[in-house]
Amino acid sequence: MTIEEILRYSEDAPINFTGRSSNTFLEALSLFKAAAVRSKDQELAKLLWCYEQILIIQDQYIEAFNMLKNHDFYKAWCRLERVEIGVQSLNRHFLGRADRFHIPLIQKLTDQWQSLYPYRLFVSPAFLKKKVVCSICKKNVLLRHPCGHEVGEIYDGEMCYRIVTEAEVIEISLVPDPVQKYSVCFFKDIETADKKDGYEYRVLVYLIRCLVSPFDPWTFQWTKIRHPHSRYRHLDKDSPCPCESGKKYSDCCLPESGVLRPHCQFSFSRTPPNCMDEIEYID
Amino acid sequence: MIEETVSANNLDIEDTQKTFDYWLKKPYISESLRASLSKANVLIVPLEGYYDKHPVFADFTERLLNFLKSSGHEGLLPDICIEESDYVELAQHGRTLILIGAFILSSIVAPIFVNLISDYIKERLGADDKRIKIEMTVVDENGKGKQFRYEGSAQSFKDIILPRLKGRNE
Repeated sequence: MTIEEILRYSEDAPINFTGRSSNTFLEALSLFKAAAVRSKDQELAKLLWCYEQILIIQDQYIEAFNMLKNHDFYKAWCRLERVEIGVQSLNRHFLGRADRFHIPLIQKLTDQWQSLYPYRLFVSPAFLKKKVVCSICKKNVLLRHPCGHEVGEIYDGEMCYRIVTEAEVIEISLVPDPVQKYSVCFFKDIETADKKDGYEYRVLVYLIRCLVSPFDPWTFQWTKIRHPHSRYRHLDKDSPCPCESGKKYSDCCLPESGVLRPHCQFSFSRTPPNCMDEIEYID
Repeated sequence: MIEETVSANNLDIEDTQKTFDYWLKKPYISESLRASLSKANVLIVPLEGYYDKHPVFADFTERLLNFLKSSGHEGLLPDICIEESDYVELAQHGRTLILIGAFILSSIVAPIFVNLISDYIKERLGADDKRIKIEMTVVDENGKGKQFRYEGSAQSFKDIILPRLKGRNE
């Protein structure tokens, strides 16, 4: 296998995303990278790391899309976080045309998917990092005698990061913008202790149903539209208005053509299957 | 007494007695380290009010110290007010506000320091679009200290602090 063949495979991700298996390509890249390191060609090793990252990002993004298709929303959320981190790392080092490998599109769509999730509050620990090791040389990180490896840089075709080997959690907080996005709050069933996922995913359900390929671009816009009063027949005119204004229904939306509710409007580059152009109401 | 407050980006400036001597007299500093730290004109000091059982430093302080040391500015002599074996970083929750740390510095290197911190936030942390929190005490040639407590936009940090440093040096 040649490097060009690997690049073509990455380029063709929108074609080969079904039944894709990148293992042989990743193994080949790993061998090329080892050869570059042996010949002390750090620049080439770094470039091959970038190609490796491109494949991993594409794989993770496709996995997230498939998880969304299977309604594994939390798993997809975690995978999208990996994509986000991978793209950030790649963008720092890759000087080539990332659009050739659909990276800017993946970045944009990942961000859009994340923003449509209903997760708003996350559990996040504050902890003391007592012992820290360098991922490259495995030495303890020392203040006055640094190992010389800079976090985020590429050495011998591997990215440098820190490994915390001894830590003490000092508090747990609820935060809206966590360092670790995977730390989503879930309820537990009191009797079975099983995780209860009570989040409302119907916007995601609607969207994923409209998409055939993870690489088909789409956009969305939050607006407001009026929902028909027939949906609120069970409400008395003195009830709180379902638009959540805090006013009485009769003093707010009842005299209008409908109840004003948030509306997510999608635009697709490819016509969704089964012509899903009707409005779907979600409370 | 707070001398000046810039509320949009929460900058407070006030006199402080906590200059180099205050930190060098801390009981967790050995004699040999004290001798070495007394040569520094930028001192990273432990965070106050975050953890009371042990001196702690902001997340990524080790990276920041290396960044300052390798900056290439001959007049800049950075160090950190802790023994190697006692060094502990505090990793925090959110990423909306990034805690940079607390510093004591000589007024002569203050503009260089502010420029370097601004570069560090942008280049190393990639956090130019975030909010930051930083405390820096600038000590003038007479040994008097002014504390600058800034909590605001990372992008505005340099533009807000630098003119106020110049005013003090004139």
